[in-house]
Formats: sequence, structure tokens, C-alpha cells
Amino acid sequence: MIRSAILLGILLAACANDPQYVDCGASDTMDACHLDSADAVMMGTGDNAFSAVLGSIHVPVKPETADLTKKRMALQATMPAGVDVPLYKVDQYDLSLEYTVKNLDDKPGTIKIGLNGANEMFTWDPSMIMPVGDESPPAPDLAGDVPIDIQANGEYDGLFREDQLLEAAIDLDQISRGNINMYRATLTVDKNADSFQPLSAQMPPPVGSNDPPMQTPMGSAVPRAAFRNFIRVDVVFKTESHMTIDFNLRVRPHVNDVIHDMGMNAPAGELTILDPAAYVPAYTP
Amino acid sequence: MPSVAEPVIEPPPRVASTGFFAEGALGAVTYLPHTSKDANTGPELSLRIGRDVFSWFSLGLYAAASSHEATLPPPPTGQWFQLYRGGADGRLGGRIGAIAFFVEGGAGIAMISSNVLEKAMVTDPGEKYSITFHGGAGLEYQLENRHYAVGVGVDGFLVPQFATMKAIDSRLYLRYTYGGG
Repeated sequence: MIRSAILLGILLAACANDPQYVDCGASDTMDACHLDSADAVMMGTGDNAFSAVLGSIHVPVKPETADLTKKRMALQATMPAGVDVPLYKVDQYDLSLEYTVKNLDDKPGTIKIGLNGANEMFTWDPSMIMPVGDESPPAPDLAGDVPIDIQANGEYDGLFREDQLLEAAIDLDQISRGNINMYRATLTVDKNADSFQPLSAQMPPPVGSNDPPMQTPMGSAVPRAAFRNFIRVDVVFKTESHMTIDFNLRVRPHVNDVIHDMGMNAPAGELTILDPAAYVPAYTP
Repeated sequence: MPSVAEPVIEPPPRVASTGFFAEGALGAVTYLPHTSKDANTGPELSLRIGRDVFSWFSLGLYAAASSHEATLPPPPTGQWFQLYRGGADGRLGGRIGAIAFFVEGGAGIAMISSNVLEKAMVTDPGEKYSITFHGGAGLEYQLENRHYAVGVGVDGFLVPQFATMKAIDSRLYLRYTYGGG
């Protein structure tokens, strides 16, 4: 009995799905996992301008193999018309981002950490988006941007959980592929959604009206199996004090493993490193 | 009245079976410098099966799993990893009454469950496996049932590919020997 219990314990431990810890590596020297607020620059425009420092880390995804192409094509055949199956899907891996902030000042300070990212088609960069309305709030980060107090010379450890990054990845796909209003996408919980319905593009109000035209459903709903996952995670570090932040990604591969075991230290030819263009909606209320 | 000497009743010698045996152990694995700053001591489970080739020499196979908190500079924080080890070893021993003693040594394979120590350069990118060598000693107490014994063992082990990781494996174990010899 005791021996059986011991054996069971060992087997259970052996079956655990440990995350892979990904630091900035040699494969993309543009990635930055250590940020210092002393390097902050002005981002955004007008009333929405803010001082921040930006860091990024790629997900160490491998190029698609012939076997994965075959599987993707098989999945594509099950999709409604007009829905493309991406190379890197939300069901292939989970991401979380762990960070440590150090306050180098001898007085308390406040930070905000915004989390954004890119899928294989678009980057979400709120500083590139200028809402039209005078009183419109700034374009939102996909996650975070919550004030956190740090004591003098203190240290703060935090985590963007897997479900938060999943939600953020789905929000980006909804905004960029589905024309869904960015405020609505980021303020609603979609991490368990089975699909989303793309809408017609957001348009400015017609002359003589203050209300933009209603968006109407357009094309087929995008099933969850075709949701795009992040291939890069961006961190926007905002503070008025002198602080540093260090972060790393935790990647947990699931089906059709596309994550390289060597992380961002893999030979560059064995990784797909994409930096797609920033998505800018045609019109932002 | 002449006295009559009481008969002296000698306790029977403690008999220990020899033959095929199995051991289950609970213990702890403690890392030595330089790995000790990056990983805490952690609990361990291990199993061993083997055969007493002679009363003083046995060969065995072992499998061990230990779990440790990574303590490298954050991030990450509060993360755990497992170290699995398996291999073969030989054991030389002797017995004085109910107490047996042994020295052992062997080699095997180690696998680490995660790359969390990569940042501390304990493992290289993509590295999960290493050969391992171990050696140690122990004491065993034979119970009245000749098949059962309990013991303590302490081994040191070396994992060359994981930045020459060194650790101490200390354990309490229960042994069952199938043989009747």
C-alpha cells in the first residue's frame, strides 16, 4: 500500500506540465526584459501623453512544420467561409508574465504596468491610436494599467496570470479581426468565449449627427479554434519615480507543441520572430 | 542446600533474510554550494529494488524524485521544480547483530522538470538530462520479522551537466526482503 502510494506520487509529479521560463535571449536583441524608468520617453499625444518605458519579449515559437501545416489545413477545412486558422492559436500554449519592480528612490512611489502584445498579424500599441472625441479616454492597454504603490526602496513581485494573457490575446483578435470596439473588447470577459462575431468597420458619424453608424455583423463568426495567440508580449512601465522592472515569460505548451525548448536562446533560424505592424482602427470614437 | 544454577536462556540471533529486496524511502535533498543559493532543500521519495548477491554485497536499481523551491533572484518567485533520478548501484555491507551497515555507490540519469534554473546558469538552454554519480553510507536495523528492516541512508550525488550540481540525499527507509536465506 505504501509502495503504491509512493509510486503514484512519483507518477503524478512526472505528469505535471511545468512551464518553460523564457528570458530575453540572444535570438532577438531588440527584446528587453529589464527596464529602468530613467530611460522613459513620452508616449501618446495631447492630453493622453504619458512618460513610460517599453519592453518586449517574443514567445519562442518555431516555424510551422509540414506536420503542423497538415493539421492546420485539416482544421481549416472545418472552418466557416472567410475564417483563417492562424499559425499560433490560443489552444497551443498558455502564457503568463512574472515581474519584479524595485523602487530605487528613498520615498514611496506608484507604478502602472500596461500589458500589450502582438499576434501573428497585428501589434496592439495604444500610443499609436488617437481617439477622436475631446473627452474620449486614451486607447486602453490589453491588461494591467492599474496603480500599484511601492514603498521606499521596496520591491514588488507580480504576475499577469495565464487567464489574463488569454483574455488579452482574444481581445486583440476581436479588435483587429472583428472590428470590435477596443473599450468593449477590453472591458468584457471573453476568455471562455466559443466564438466572436466580426462586425463592419467603425465609421465616423455622418454629417449632421453625433452618433456613428451602427456596426452590423459581417462574415462568419470566428470559432475559438481559430483564435490567434500572442507571439510577442509588450510591457509598458509607467512611473514618476526611479524604479526598475525585470520580467520573464512563462510558457506552457499544450497540443501541437510549437514552443522551442531553448527559448529565445535558440538559433534564430529555428524561431519565428514576427513584429507585425500596429493595428489602428479606421475610426475611434 | 546446594544452589542450582538458573538456566541461561540466550535470545535467538536476529535473523535477516537475503535475496530480492525492495525499499521505500522518505527523505530530503539538500543542495551544496553553488546550487544551494538557487534552490532550497526539498522533500524526496525514492524506491529501490535489488538483489543480495552475497550476504555482504548487493546490486540495486533506484528511482528518486525530489521537489524544490527555486530561490534565484526574482523573477521568478515561489516557483518549484522537480529533480528525478534513476540508476543502478552496488552496496557493500556487514552486520553486527541487529545492526547492519553499508556503503554504496553508483551512477544513473537525472532529469530536471523545468528550466527555472537556466537564469542562474545551472542548466543550459534546452537542457533537461544529465548523468549522475552518487556514493554514501547507511545503517539498518533488522526487525524481529526477518523480512523487514528500517534504516537511514545518506548519499552525496553529483550532476555534472547541471553546472556540476552537488547535493546530499538523506532518507529514512523501510526494507522488505523476499528471500528466506
